[in-house]
Amino acid sequence: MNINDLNDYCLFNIFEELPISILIKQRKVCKRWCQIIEDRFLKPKRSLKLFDKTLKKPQRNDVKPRKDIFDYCFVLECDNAFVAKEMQIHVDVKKSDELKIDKSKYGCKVCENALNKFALRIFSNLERLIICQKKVYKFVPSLIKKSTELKSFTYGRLSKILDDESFLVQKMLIEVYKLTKLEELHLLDPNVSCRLSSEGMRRIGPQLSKLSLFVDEFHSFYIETITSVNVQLPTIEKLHLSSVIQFDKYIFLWKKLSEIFPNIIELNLGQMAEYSVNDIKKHFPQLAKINNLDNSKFHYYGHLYDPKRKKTLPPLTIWKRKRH
Amino acid sequence: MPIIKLLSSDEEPFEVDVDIARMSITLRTMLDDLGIEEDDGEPIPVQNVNSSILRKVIQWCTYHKNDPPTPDDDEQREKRTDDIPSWDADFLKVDQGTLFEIILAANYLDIKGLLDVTCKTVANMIRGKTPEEIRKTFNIKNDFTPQEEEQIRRENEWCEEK
Repeated sequence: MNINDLNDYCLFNIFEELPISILIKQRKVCKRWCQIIEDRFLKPKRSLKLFDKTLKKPQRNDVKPRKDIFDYCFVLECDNAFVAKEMQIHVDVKKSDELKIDKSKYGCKVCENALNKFALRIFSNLERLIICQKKVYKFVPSLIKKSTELKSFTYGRLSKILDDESFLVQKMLIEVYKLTKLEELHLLDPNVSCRLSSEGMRRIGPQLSKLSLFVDEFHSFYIETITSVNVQLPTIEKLHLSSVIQFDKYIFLWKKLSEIFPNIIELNLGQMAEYSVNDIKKHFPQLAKINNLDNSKFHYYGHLYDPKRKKTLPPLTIWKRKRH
Repeated sequence: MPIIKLLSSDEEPFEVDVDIARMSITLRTMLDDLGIEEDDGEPIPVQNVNSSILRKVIQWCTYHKNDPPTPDDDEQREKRTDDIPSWDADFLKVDQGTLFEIILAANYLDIKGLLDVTCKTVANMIRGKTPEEIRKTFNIKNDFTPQEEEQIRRENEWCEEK
């Protein structure tokens, strides 16, 4: 009896005991192994998270404090076992261009270029991509370019944005505009949101069902972007706006937003300074729910709902919150 | 201790404690479905397992009958193949054919602990070997065309040791 007389399930069980770095190489053994490894371990990637994670401070007992090597680690995570279990990509801050795959698990280094190749091979069928980084990496635009199946894209907060990175953000957004299957777009950093162009919104907007944008009063040109979008986006039912803008001063904005997003049924408002439920009501008559993301209290249409007390409070016409 | 009879595919009968037989999910389901609690004279056929392999399986189950239940697969569990107990390691010092037949039997009888330990043993035989060495070890024919082989080589370039 030969190993290839085992059924696929038994072979899969054997392969499952091996790290992915070995499996990738052992695809070369024969077509059947290649097929099983690719189908079971490499292909069904639907979700990927990229985020910076500050390593914990070295403890007194640590023999070699890792902080000497890495200040931040850059983690690739996926809803499938492959990346979540196996792959950690670190950024060595002292050699900021160098990306390393955790040696203990992979036993090898990758350069940025290799990551691009890797992304092409492994992540071409990604459906959900979440990126939260301290800086913008060069490979991100090409990763998005290759992820043509993306349905959801989230870009989280950046700590700061450098001049050369703003070019990368623009480049990244250009690739986002080309994603024909994108249904959800969440740009949660004002540095990214404010670079969303009117042309891009016109291109990508009509296919979106969910959109999150971060508005910042220091990026007033972003408001110009919103107001310059001469397009209706009727497919969007949920809208997320985070801002410290005093929207009361920009009443016209609600009107404009209601023109762009006529079918919003749920509005998420985070870090809002002040807003009037009545103003919103006037412009979004179909609105079913306003979520205040800053507090645990939810605004239902015209009512304040306290989820902790499971109680709807008396109707409010205006709700104000002090500015930070 | 209630006893039941199992009948291997080559029709050799085996008398086994019910508790040991019930370590196999397949047999446990069969016993529950048929309402069998002890030997009623009729042996239970284990169609896909021959007598030499069934003997090994019963031997493994007998040794491990008091083990705590194997936990369900934990996605986060660390992949380790160096934790095979020494008794199991000695028990599995058999020829490849027998080892693969035990794997198939463990799969058919649904004995997770036995399947895990046998798969780990094979995984250890794969570790540290090149694809060519693996083909030689397991007598596998390389059925790739040179072009296909080159394609995989290119794809693997990034993760090859430098």
